[in-house]
Amino acid sequence: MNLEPPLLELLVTSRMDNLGIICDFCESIANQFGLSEDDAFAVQLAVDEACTNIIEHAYEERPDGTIRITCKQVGDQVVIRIQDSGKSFDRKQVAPPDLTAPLEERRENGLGLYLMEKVMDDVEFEHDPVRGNQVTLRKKMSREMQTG
Amino acid sequence: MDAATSPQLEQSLVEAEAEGNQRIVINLAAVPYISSSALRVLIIHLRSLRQAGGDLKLCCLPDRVLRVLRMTGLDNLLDIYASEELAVWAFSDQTS
Repeated sequence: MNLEPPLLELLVTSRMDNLGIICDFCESIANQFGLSEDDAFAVQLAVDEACTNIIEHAYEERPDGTIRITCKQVGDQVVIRIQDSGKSFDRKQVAPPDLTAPLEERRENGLGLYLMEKVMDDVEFEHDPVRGNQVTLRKKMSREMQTG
Repeated sequence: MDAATSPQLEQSLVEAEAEGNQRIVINLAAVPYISSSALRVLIIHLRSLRQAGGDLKLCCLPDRVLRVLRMTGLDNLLDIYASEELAVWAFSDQTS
């Protein structure tokens, strides 16, 4: 009997129109791990924002890059890893948005990163010269909806 | 509405403004999801419309869309209405 926790994986190219496939993959994650509606929403939003950033910034909208997404359950958390081989990303270079600024001063950029970190319990960015970029998203699953 | 579909919103707003419309209501009833890409479009056009003396109002927001707007503080910048009629009425009220 295989007791390894299930691992879901998706490999797509860095095209904006693949965001629909990525959204479907997030639904598969929600179904596989029995996520609550709120947790499923958080996963979809965070993964969408992470992949959009990869396409726009890491690959600079070049459509032939690769994005690899894996997901597994670790304890009471769902852990999603997103890897790319585009330009490296330094989290410290992005200032948090001022959500109270008046319209004239409101920056329209930086909201995606803010939303990722807002809806997930932990977001970790790593860069390796050989393996490329990796963002790890962790979300504690709502207790009443956990499986296994 | 994600980064793949928000250019359609952008195009619609550009066309509406090019036709001289400065008071615009967006009915989001059929939009169950919104990402930062669409928020970016809304902020840019809200700013340009208000600078031109107009405005952009939203109506019929699904719960998840409203939550994203609240998380990013945009609910304090944009006027949000429960129905299209109320949003349109609010514009007529501004002219009276």
